[in-house]
Amino acid sequence: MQRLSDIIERIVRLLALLGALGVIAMMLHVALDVTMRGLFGAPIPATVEIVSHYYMVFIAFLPLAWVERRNGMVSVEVLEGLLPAPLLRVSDLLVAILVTAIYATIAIITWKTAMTNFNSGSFVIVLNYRIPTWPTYFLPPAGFGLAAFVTAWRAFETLLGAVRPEQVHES
Amino acid sequence: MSLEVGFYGIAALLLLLLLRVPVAIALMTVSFGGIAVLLGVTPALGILQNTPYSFVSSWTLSAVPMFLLMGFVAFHAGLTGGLFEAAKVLLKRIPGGLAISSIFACSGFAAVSGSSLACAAAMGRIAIPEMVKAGYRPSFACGSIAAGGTIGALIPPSILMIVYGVFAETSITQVFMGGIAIGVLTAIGYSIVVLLTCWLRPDIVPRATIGSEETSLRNAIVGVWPALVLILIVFGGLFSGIFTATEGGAVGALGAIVISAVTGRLTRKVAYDSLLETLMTAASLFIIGIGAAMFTRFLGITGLSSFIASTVGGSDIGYFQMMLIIVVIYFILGMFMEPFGALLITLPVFLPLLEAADVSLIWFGVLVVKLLEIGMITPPVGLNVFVIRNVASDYASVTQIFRGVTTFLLADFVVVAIAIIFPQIVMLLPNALK
Amino acid sequence: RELRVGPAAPPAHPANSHLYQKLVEYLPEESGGALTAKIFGPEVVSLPQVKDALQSQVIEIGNLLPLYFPAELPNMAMAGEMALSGREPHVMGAAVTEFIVSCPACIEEMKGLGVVYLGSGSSGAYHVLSTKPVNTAEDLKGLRLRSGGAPFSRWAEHFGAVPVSLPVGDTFESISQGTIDGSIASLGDLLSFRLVELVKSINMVVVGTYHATSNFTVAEQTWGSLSVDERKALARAANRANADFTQRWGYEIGKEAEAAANEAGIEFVAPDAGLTEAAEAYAQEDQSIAAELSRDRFNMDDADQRVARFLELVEKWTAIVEETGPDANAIAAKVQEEVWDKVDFSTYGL
Ligand code: NA
Ligand code: NA
Repeated sequence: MQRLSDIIERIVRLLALLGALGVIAMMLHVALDVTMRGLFGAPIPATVEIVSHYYMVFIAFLPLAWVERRNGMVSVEVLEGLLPAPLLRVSDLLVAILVTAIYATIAIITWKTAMTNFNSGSFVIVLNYRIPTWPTYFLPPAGFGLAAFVTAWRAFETLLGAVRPEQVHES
Repeated sequence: MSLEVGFYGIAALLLLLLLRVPVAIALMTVSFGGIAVLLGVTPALGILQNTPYSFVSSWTLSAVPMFLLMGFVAFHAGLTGGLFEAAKVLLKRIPGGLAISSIFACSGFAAVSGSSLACAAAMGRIAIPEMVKAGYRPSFACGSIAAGGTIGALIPPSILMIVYGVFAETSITQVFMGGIAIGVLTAIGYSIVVLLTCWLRPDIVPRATIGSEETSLRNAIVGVWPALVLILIVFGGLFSGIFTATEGGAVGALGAIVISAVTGRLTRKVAYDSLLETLMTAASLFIIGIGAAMFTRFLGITGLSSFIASTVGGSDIGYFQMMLIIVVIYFILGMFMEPFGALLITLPVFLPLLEAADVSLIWFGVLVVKLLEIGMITPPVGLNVFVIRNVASDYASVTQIFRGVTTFLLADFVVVAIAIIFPQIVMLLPNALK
Repeated sequence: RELRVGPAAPPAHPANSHLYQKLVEYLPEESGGALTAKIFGPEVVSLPQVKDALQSQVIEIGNLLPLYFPAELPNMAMAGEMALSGREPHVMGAAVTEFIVSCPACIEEMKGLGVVYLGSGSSGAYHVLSTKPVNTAEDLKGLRLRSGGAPFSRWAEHFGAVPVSLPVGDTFESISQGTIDGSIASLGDLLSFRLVELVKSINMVVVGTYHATSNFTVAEQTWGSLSVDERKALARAANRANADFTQRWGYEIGKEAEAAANEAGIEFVAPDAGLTEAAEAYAQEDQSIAAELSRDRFNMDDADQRVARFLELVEKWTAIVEETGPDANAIAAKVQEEVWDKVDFSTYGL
């Protein structure tokens, strides 16, 4: 079980690093576009489309599993201090199951969309450049799928009575 | 019948949130269930399927992670620390000086950011730790920046005001001008809140700033320059037309990184922490945004706007009654919805009424954006509070930040009342422009 | 039966006011009360969501933007590539409608997306709306202009301008910041996107039209569940609304925008002979470029014939519209007669 946990940890870290690359790439791309436009009157074509269809999708979906692993999702903890520990654990378990169900559903239906777009080879035409859009449609199913896996694992751990995961924010 | 489903949906949402379901998942669950009841399971699945991608693949939204990165790098590399040292020295005689200067820093930053999220994202990590260090109660410090961030959408440029102008087919430039007045009023209102809190509750806002004696004025001024260069890059670039507010985040983040590198502050740890915190904050915020977008679609399907139309229209009511109803409606919608959705649902109802009542659409645009921004900091779904919760996770929980925001909300309602009772204050600049 | 319909545009936009609100009015008339429509606004279904919303039955009829799906809708994409050949909005709306409806492959590709096509409309002519005066072709050089599609970008590049691609909603911010110098757009954008506050000069050279729309795109399941008479009624109602929409977007809004522009002190520049000639010549040249691109990009082997067929229909409708004048009712009647009355609604789109 510890071994599996380690593997999960390694995968989510890798995803976070990929997401971080997305952040850096977006920054450099936009800054370069601004520079090229300002200095040479030659903006990088399709910057808007690449930012919205690539970097943003990267940043939003790839790190989901890692965010879940670090308990980084925001909830409103009104009852946090009021419930006794056993009840908290029950509620943790139910929440983990609900979260898993939602993530898994989204993963499955977005996977179908991704396959449709892959089969038709979806793209957009921007300034006479052809920008394929189908690749990043695989990111939502990947992100939500892995996040579902992490939360399912958490449900399992909670069920076995492992320690309540603390809110951690550093990687 | 549809509308009833909407009310049950809101009740279910509150229940799920109380049961500690993450905000994003609570919103998604209720939207899915509600749409399944109204239209069937296939449409409900359809909403789950296409909202995530369509919400996230947005050029305008890209400013948020970029401004987050700028804020995190500035904080971790200590670029802005000097600025706060200087502020402490200069403002040590002013009660609540640090919070007030942070609020005015938000207002200044508002001039380069188009949305309140971007504004809160950039300012939160920089200002909150400094306030806490100086002895402010963390929930209050967080609340002041969550609220201060809303000024980002009031002072131009403002994406919400552009969307309003396009929707209402009215002058965006004039709405912008009106926004300056409401933005300044808001900043003054928030500052008064800080002063009053300091006076009444010195345990929340300290009367004397801790640590202000440690730095000499000379050292403080020397420490300021990295922040000044960063400010110069972002403001200079925006005002000279080199980039737009949406692009400003990327330039600002790169600027922060370059300044850190040049001054030898860019360690591996600084880079690593900044990037991962940006990612954590952005991803957890986007997923809430996706949930909020689904919830908006659900409420749209319930026929909420025709319900609002039947509430407001029909009866013959006066100006102040009409405004009261409008304020209450936006307050309620703002609790649960993201601002763009609330705008799209309400304007088709309100605009014809206002035109009939001969109310200035410029003035109304300013008021609406102010009301929508109040929704960014009201529970249970307050996006500015959530972004602050992530950038300052060590300091306060969501509930505590919502509590910290309440006094600022009071100031907001005073500002709204002033705008309604004395519309000429808002219209001063727009009219002068004409 | 009440159909859920999505204009994906706010109430003041012609796609809402003169397309979908008209459908709501015409549908019960044409169907003898059997069909009605209920509008779901952009807060429920926005433009990028229309395809998925139709496929998952969130809405049953939607305003689909074919520009988003060139891989899935090659024929429609090709019609869009012919933007620079557009002169008269009603001609283009009718020509695209006949082009798609009379082409089995086009109906097939719509079917691939799970939808049925019920006609197109057209914008008014695109001009150069800018903050710097454009008097001659020379003045276009180096100008950064927002372009809403590949043909307009080619046009801009041909004249030495720098085409910039931006979401249309960002045009205001970009012009007001000065990161772009203007937009290639119809006069309607002066009002719809408030460019009237920023633009200083409008060169009235006709660049082309935007006409590759699919105004009423019906979900397959919905279409299949309607009786043949109901389908005919829906097509008639849609056809009338299509003409109203083009009347509004292509003519009326332009007049209102012109008045607003005059009031705002915007200068209207008549293109000099050199620019007019050069624009006409390039529009000709671009027809073969469009064919070539369609062959390479959309895997269309018979692109030359398709382009020729499209131009033939433009010619046909030019003659018809010359006769009727820009009159929505007369044109709707003509399109009904020439296009929809020839359709077999027991098989169309199924
Ligand atoms: Na702003
Ligand atoms: Na709220």
